[in-house]
Amino acid sequence: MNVILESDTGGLRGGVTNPDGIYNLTRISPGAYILRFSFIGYAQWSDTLEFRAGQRLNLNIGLVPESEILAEMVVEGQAETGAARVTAGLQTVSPKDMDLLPTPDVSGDLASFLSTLPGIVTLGDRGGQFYIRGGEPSHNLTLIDGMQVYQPYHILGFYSAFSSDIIHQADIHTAGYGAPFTGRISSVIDIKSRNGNKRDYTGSLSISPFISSTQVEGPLVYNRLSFLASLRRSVVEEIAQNYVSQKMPYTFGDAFFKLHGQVSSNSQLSISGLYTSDRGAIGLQSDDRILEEVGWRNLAFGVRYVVLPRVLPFVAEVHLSYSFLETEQGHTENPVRRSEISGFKYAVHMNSFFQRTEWKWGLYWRAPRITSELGGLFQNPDFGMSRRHKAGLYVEPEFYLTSNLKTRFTIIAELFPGQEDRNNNLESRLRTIWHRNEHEVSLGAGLYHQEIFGLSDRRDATNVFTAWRSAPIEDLSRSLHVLAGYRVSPYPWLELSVETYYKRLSDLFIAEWTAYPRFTSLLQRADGRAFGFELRTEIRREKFYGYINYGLSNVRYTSKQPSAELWYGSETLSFRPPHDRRHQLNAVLTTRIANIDISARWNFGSGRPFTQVYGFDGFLLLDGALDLFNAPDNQRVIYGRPFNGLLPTYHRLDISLEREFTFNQFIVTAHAGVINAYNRRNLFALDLFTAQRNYQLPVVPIAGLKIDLD
Amino acid sequence: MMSKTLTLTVLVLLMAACSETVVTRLQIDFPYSIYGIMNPKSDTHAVRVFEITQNIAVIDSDPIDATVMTTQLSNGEIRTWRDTVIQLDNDVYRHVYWSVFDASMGETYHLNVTRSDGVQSEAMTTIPPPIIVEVLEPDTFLVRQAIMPLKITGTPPNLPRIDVEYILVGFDENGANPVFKPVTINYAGLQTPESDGFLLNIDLAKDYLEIYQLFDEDNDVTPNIIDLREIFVTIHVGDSQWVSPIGLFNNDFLVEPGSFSNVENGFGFFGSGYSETISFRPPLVLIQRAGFQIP
Repeated sequence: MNVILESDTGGLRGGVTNPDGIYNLTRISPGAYILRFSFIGYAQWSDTLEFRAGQRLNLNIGLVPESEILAEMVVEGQAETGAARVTAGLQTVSPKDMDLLPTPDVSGDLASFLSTLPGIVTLGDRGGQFYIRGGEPSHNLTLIDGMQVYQPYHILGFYSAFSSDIIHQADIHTAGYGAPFTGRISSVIDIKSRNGNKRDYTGSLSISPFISSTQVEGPLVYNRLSFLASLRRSVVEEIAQNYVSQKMPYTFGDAFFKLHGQVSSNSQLSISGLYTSDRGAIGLQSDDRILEEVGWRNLAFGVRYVVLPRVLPFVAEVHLSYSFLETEQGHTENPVRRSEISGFKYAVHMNSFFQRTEWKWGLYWRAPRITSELGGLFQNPDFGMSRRHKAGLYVEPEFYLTSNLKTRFTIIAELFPGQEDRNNNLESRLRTIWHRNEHEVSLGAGLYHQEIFGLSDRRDATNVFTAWRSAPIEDLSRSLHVLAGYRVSPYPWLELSVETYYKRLSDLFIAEWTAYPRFTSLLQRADGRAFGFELRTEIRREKFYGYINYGLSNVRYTSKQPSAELWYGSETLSFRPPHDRRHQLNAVLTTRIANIDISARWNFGSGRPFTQVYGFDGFLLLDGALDLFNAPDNQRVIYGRPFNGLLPTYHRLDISLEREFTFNQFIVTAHAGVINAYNRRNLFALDLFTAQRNYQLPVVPIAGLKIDLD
Repeated sequence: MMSKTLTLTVLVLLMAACSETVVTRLQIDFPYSIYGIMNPKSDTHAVRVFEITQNIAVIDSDPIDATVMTTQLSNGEIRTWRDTVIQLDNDVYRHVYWSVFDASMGETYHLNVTRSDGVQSEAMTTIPPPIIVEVLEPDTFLVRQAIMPLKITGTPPNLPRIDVEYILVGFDENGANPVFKPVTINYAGLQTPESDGFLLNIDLAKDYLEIYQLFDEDNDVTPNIIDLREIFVTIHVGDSQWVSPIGLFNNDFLVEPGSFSNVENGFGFFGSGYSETISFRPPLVLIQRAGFQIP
């Protein structure tokens, strides 16, 4: 909601409410004002106010929908989201941005949107793994309403647990993020869900070849308490499998609910819950190998209480949440490998203004409990259980130095019980933004650490199983981010931005390199660095909307495996990790012709590194005069130098058409299109053991239907 | 000229972008990996042979395309080894080639494993000479020391492994039931050369500390009473090539192909060697001085 305060002398001050609908205007000189609130589709609200010196005023406003005039309304204002609207690593995304993209479903999804961003690498259209500006999936922090979701992406890469139908906005921090985000060293995706409608009951049903969904919302207490519930379930095996020329043994789904209530005129309470479930066989089937399934389940629920005390000038948020992830690999009844992470999070966040400074501060406590059981042949079975308590507090003042320049400084102190060396527990972060007219320059930097990590086998791209583990308490994984960006809008319809970044990653824990064809939980240390730049262009014309972005990225890890000197002649092994995709190009174009929304997306990605193989033999350690008729041995892979090969490039064109039909009580949206329009054979999985290949989706026609009930 | 270069560049980029080719296999001409030790104290010698394949597959019981022969260099005598398929505990098949003959100490043998197309992997070994191991009289008057000296007489080219196995009896946490607990300590490389061989000092006191720590970490046994019954010392004698590049035989290090190999045009190790074992119980005064208890 836009908030405008107009003085009787004609001076204007304004702002935008935060996702909780809270706004704050400070440093108002005594005098007479007109206060206006506006939002698309709602009648404008205005009132005259007389401010005295030192007066503090709390004002709660509820806008009334004005749907009948919406069609005639011309809204001019500054967009808060947009494809080129990136400031110091932060891009804010609205559901509308997601809905613009062609997807197999009528509704958009955050996962589809993420795959169009230049600094985000996916391994393919399944697996649910996102690598953000050099980091790994386990380095990403994903939150919805403050609740952490450990593995939020579905096994089919178009989908996450976050349909655009439930999202109010998503803040994608690809680097340089501030407080209260801690515990991850690469990125943050912070999602705020919508509140349910407090006045009317509405709902929707949709069906597509990959997923079906239903959603319902409405008031429980008129104008005070609402609910929002969403349920999605995959129908891949029932529908898509029947006409896609490859096996798609995937089952997934998610459920989300939210209660939101206005407790009093100055406080609100929300309760949210999320459940996701995924299962499928990702790799390649062969005659002599039984394909193992991988599956994961997320559960999260949380309570948020936001209050604006009447007598004190701040906003307070109290948050309690619980998150759970179970991931397993193997057969459903008897998984060979299993990993579980769960825990509560308590947090208090405060926000206030003092003169020309906005102050945020808070404190939090977390204690994730991690259990991993890595059974089966050749495993290292001693992964076990661990719990890492963490308490922290932060202070984050943002100084409005001039009307064009603001600087945010963050200091975070954390405490881990049992830790002896606490010198490195202070983290500082900085963000500066200068803007003038159509120009904006932003700078960011920050120190980050991570106390748990996910271990996966880098040698096999199809192995999405992640075993979680606590990092050694004295040697947490750490990163340094530095970034600089420039954004300009030379014309109202054109926006351009460029951002460059550098990330230094240290004390990463990755699986030891081994010639045994097995998953290993033995760890080796690695350092890494990632740098690159991203160019974005967004065009907003009356007849069409589109954007094109390009990302150049360079990621390199240096591992310190004791055996490296023997194997490669050097104590350290420097290599490109498998997510080091150097070039990415994404183009999206949407237009409307004869009331049909047409959307097209083209993605291009250069080849990712992989390890080539010389062949296979056996290995027998001759540490004595063994009995060759009985001594056990192991099969062995004769690898080339790690990640020296390059997979083919990836590119794909998706097109969709959408048309709405409005009836008295409902709106029907018909959706049709094609995924991978020119049938590019994009490699998804390469079995290094058999050289078999598994390709991503071939050309797939899609059709869907959505019914919105009023 | 400029536009031609640009056009060419764009065409090359487009072709690269359209290519679906991926090179998964690097070229390797090695046909076999071979593992075996010729033991002069045994009349049967064997090597385990793996074909180097392009794709991983379960090894079945069908014969493999390999002919294994040895040539005794001193007299040119050639022996063809026989193929036997063995089944290991985990039900996998392996191919072991073997031959019955006495390998004479000091003799050099050349091993050829040849494929039907003539490609071969080969290795050579010289059988190490004999050694004599004897326990020397310890100096029990050395203050705060508990050293058991052993004499290794001979000129072995290499002692790849020396295992000192302590036969110990401990007690469970209640102290009531005895628990038999052998502990092996690696002494490889700790021998000191002498004019006619090597001297090996078994440091009982130092080993006791290691043993105490192992008992302390073991929930089945208490470290308070550790009774030393006997010591077995096994000395592995190897040819000059049987040397771990890292000083010890560790699977995780040596699994990398080529890191511990003497096979030409292949991987693995073919050598020769044998072991000598001697057992003894140190004098009580040394046992007690080292820290062991005598019940």
